[in-house]
Amino acid sequence: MTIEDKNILWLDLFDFLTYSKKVKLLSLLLKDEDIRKVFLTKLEIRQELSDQEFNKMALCLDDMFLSLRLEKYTQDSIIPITINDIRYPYPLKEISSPPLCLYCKGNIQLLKTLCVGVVGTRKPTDYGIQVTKQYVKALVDADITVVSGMAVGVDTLAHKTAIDNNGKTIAVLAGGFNHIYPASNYHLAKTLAENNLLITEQNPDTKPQAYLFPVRNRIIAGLSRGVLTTEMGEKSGSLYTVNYAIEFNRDVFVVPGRINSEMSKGSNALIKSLQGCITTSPDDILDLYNRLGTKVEEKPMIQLDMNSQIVLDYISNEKKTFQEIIDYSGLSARELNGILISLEMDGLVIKLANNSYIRA
Amino acid sequence: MYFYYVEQMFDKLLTNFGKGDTMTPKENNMLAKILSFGLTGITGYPVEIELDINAGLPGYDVVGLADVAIKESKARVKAAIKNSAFNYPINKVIINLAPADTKKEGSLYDLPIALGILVSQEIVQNKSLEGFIVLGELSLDGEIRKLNGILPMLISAKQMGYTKFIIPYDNAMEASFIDQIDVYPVKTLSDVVAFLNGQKTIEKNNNKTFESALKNHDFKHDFAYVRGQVSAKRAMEIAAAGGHNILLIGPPGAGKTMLAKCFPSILPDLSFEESLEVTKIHSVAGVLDAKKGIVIERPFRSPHHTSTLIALTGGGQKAKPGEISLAHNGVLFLDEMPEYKRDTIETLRQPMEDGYITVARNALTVQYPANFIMVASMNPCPCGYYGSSTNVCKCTPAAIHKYLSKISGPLMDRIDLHIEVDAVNYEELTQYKLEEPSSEIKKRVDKAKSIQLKRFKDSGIYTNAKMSDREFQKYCVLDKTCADLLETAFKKLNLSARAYNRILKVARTIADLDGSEKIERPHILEAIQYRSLDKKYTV
Repeated sequence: MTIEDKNILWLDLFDFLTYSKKVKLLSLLLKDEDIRKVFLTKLEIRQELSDQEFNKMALCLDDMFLSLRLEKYTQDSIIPITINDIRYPYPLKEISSPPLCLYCKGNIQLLKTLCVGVVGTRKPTDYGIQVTKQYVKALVDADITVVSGMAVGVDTLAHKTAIDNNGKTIAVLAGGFNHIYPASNYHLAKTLAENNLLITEQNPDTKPQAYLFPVRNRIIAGLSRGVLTTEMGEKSGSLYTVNYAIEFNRDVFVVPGRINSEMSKGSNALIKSLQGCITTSPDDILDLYNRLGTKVEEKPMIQLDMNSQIVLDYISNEKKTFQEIIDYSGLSARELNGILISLEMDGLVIKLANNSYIRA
Repeated sequence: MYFYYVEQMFDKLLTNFGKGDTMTPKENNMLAKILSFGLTGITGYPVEIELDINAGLPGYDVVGLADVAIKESKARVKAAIKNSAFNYPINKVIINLAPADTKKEGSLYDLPIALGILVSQEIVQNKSLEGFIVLGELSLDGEIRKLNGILPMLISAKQMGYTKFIIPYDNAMEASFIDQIDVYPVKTLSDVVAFLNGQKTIEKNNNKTFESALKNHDFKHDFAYVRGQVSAKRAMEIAAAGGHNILLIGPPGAGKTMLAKCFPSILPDLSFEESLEVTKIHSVAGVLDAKKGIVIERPFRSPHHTSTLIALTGGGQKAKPGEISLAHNGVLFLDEMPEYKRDTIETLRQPMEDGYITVARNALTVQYPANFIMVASMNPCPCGYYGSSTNVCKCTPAAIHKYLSKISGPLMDRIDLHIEVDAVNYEELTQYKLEEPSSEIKKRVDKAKSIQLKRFKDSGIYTNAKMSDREFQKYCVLDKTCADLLETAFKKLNLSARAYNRILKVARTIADLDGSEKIERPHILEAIQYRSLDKKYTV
């Protein structure tokens, strides 16, 4: 580990230091200068910091302090990758404010793959669920890594769909690894750390505060070649991601929604302002990245009996309730229950809230 | 005042002086013994009421751990005796309620005490009261009022070998369902006296059979009037057949409460023994319909969500039965389950497992049966419209999560069937379509129930839901294909491990409804459908 790496890691330990302050402090150093050695003597450093900050940092100058932390990282299988590291993803380096250090858990090879960010509302409608699943499946089938923020809603759905389809996915967290947010995704985080990747800019003890979420979104945008939003409300946090993507000159893909749907207002507004961002099929993205037809979809033909076929044909892209299916098909509740659950198990329909179903 | 009494007694002494019988026990040490009954919980015990009328300052002492209601009987007894044109003695009255170390409560000893006083005055012969158990509350004009808890007392008394009873007329219906005992329902104190002295005959209470009570019985709510909701009806049919607890999830106005209210109409009929158990509890709690006298319909209790823990489990100073005991052999309906206080519904866990609840209070410990099917309803989110086809939900994911987590895992564990109910749309509501009546569904339920009764014969278990591990191993065997199917389902649908037993138990009931010996593929598939909350509910 070089001295520069150590400098960054040491500065990262203090959560009161803002990003710009860290950059400033690092810029004051000469090549191969250990910040801890010159901390008390360099006047410029002193001028940058308040009394309180300076006093706190002065207490942590001992080498033991950092080395104990590094040991702990290794124990928890956290891999810190600084901006000087060869493993640091190249697209991220390009952006105006690249994270100084990425803390990674899992398969860091994924950082070098072709990534597409998938973001959206925390409360997807049935349409949003259907579209997200459809796009993510197509992306991972084409060997594209899906990057998202592990928030509730579309983010979680994107990660889960990627895992279910044996695809690659990266979750960018807002806080540190010791504070997984939302807590309901604790197990998802665990699974992701096994075969896929979790990354964050913050040291493991940082709590996910509100201002960290937009900051996190810039990593999603920076890491990805393009950003896809499947469903986005009017004041969605995903809008930050999209704006960063535009700023970083990334491709933006927006799935249009219904004009009268509350959860599509943001998406539709984007389409209005950004011409050419509209996507109506996963092939739009695959085409752009020359991944079209890389992996021929070999869906094993499932032989359905007549009733199942009738039900499946009836459940189209419109959501259908159990009652509607019963009325249409004339089946008994007993039979229909069995048919629907087997269709769901075969991945042909998705069950939504309120006992309604939609084509997968 | 006292002076007046003392003077009168002196007069009495003086007039009797020299006649030689002034201090004879007959006149001044008059003892009467009357049998009555008391209750702890729903079991009765005999209470012997001893009256001693003695020379001394006029007074009225009750001993034997009597409560205030018994001590207040003084006023009622005195007024009733006077208003029935009898004399009240101007002596010291001591009343002992034996056994003296058990707390006694209620107004049921008014009539025996009054009779005791009349016996000691030789208005009634002690002999004529032999073998009678007397129960009744007096009104000031000498009328006899209705009591709570007559049925459990009569049942216990019958078991102990007592056969003759004098009870309030208004309780006659309730008592008429017990055979091989003589019950004399009485209306006034003077009637009782005339009856005991042989001046008047009182008709013995007619015995009624349980079957006669069942006749002409009609349910207020019937599935014939519930439009649509086929899947919910099917789930309720399964719940009724196997005694499974069921949770209805749906937006406001979906008809969850209506469905729940129809539920008793498809449950198997109460047997006479079950009915007596229920009637006992209802009699003790004072909620028994005096006109019917016996509970013929499976009880349907829906305590409001502001109910306290004690109201649900039973208790209070007198250790009265709570809602869960009143729902014994019937249905406990918890509307809007997450609105209940958490500790209130968590207390249901143990009785749901055991089938009874032990209420321990300072003075007494009582065990009440509490074997019920729980029907719970809830909205999918705080605003109620998550996933609704008609309205838009405005809840944050955190709020939904918080709402759903109000019901703990262990409680959820005890609910076998989850079913989502959506609002019925206008066309469906107005469309005239003949729905299947409850009686038809009940026929299928009865059939499945008889299969279960045969299967669990002599094991103390009556329903699939109550199967213990041993029965589970024996009757929920899967063949290879079914086991494989369940395994894939668990993997593909992300079911939690706790769902396993539930699914198999429900599958067993579905197989019973089908009349199938073995659990087959369709049975398992359908059972999985009813575990929607085990799958990830929100994305």
